Amino acid sequence: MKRLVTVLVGLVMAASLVACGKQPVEEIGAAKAAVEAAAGAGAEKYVAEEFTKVNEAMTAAMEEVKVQDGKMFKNYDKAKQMLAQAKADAEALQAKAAAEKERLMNQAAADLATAMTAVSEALTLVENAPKGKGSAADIMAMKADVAGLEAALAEVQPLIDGGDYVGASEKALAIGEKASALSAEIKAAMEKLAAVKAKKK
Amino acid sequence: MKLRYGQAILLLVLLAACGGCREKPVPPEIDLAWRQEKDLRGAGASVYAPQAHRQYQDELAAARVLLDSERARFLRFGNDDALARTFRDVLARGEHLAEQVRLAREAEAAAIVARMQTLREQLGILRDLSGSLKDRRLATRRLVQAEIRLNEAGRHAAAGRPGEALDRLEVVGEDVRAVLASARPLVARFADPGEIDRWRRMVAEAVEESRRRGSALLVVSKVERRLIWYRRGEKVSNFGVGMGFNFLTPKLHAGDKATPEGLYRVKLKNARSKFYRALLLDYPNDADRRRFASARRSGALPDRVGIGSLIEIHGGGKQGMTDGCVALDNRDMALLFEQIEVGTPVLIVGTTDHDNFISSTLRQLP
Repeated sequence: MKRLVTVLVGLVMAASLVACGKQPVEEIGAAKAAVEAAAGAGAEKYVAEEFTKVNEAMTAAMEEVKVQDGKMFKNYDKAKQMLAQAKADAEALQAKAAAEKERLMNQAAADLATAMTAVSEALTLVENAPKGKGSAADIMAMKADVAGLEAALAEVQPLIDGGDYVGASEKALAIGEKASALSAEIKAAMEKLAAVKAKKK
Repeated sequence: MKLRYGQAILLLVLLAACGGCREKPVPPEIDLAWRQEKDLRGAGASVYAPQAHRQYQDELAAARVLLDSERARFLRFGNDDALARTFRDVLARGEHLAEQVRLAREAEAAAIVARMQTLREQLGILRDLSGSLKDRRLATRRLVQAEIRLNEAGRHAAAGRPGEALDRLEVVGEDVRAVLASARPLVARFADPGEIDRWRRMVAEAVEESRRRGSALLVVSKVERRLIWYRRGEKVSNFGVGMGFNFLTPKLHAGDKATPEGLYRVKLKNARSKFYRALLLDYPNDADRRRFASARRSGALPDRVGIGSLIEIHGGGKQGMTDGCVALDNRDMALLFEQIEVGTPVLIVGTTDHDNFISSTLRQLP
């Protein structure tokens, strides 16, 4: 009977130590790889907030592993669960980062195209503005403005090429606004001039 | 007895095994502390209050060590008061840090708004300077580039990207300095008290001469873009005028599109000018010739360029930009042409007003 008890005790102890006690090396590796892959897809830049969350989840999982490492009776079940969640989130983020990058890139390209159209319209208006001694100063100033718009426009594509899609969009939108304001100013001046001419007739 | 002893061990081991799998819950302060740490990181505590954040992190790390050692214990019976108290202290420090971060962020946002406002005003002043003076060299493309960057900064700030906003504002500041650096040499003398006093003396002498001789006098003031007509030392009328594309500098040579400065006389009246009516001035005078010769000697002139001529007061409109002449509206020119005789002195000066538009503008700029 004594022997039986000893065997039972040994079995239970072994079971309790072995069943829950093995560090989840594979799970750690897989989760880390998924987080790295998400970073490689640009998650840090394009879905920064969610990427931070995934990193935090990964850190918490590793903390849990560390706590269990220090225990006599180790139980990595919770750590495994946390690692599996971090891995799944990181994998989902990888696709999301790629999609967000694509969306921002397309948005920047569209904003640039809109800005180019606005600058082109302003340029056409300046070139066709009624010329005469009375308008020379205004035309000179407007030409300088259009030159400034064109110089600013040239800064957008390098931003897109460098992956700064948000910066490119903001610049393109600011250029578009300025170009539209200039066009409106020229149109108003032309209408005023036409009204004066009509009055003279 | 021996059997009971074995059963007791078995029971203990079973308890321990189950206890190992099911941990005693930790005090609620700990979860709150983790959440607070995330919030502080998200709020940029390491950027906005780096020293306080380091102290907070040290305290949190120490609490974490205590927690880990508690959780690593073989059996966790007993109460967690010490652990809870430690994490409550961390939470209190975190709350203090959060307040510091909030204040720092508010201060940064206010600084961005103030900087944007200052730069917007400075750009507006430069824009007015360019628009009012109508000198080609003040109409620079960098001005519009700066306005675009200012707009970008506003967009970034509104979207919660203060770092990007500040970066753009830094460049706008450089733009303003660059525009000002190119404008200042053109306009500085119009804000120079010594130079203004010299012009005032010239005008006073010419007016006195007009009074003494009982003759007419025309004074053109560049900054004010006005032509003042005197008769027997008294003002008769004044008219708005247009001037050369580069009127801010005194005329030096042919083709510089600058309006001369100094004392001239009406040399000829032209009733068939292509600009309605014209009073031809005797530019260049002796002072102009001396300046031209000096510039020639110093190599400051383009090759084969002459001193120029045909500087007139003519019609065509005060809004016009000329090659150096002074342009009036035709109605004003008709009046002047009728009344002014050949030989009438014409004095062209920068300004006679110490508090003129340029000097007051320059006082507002960095």
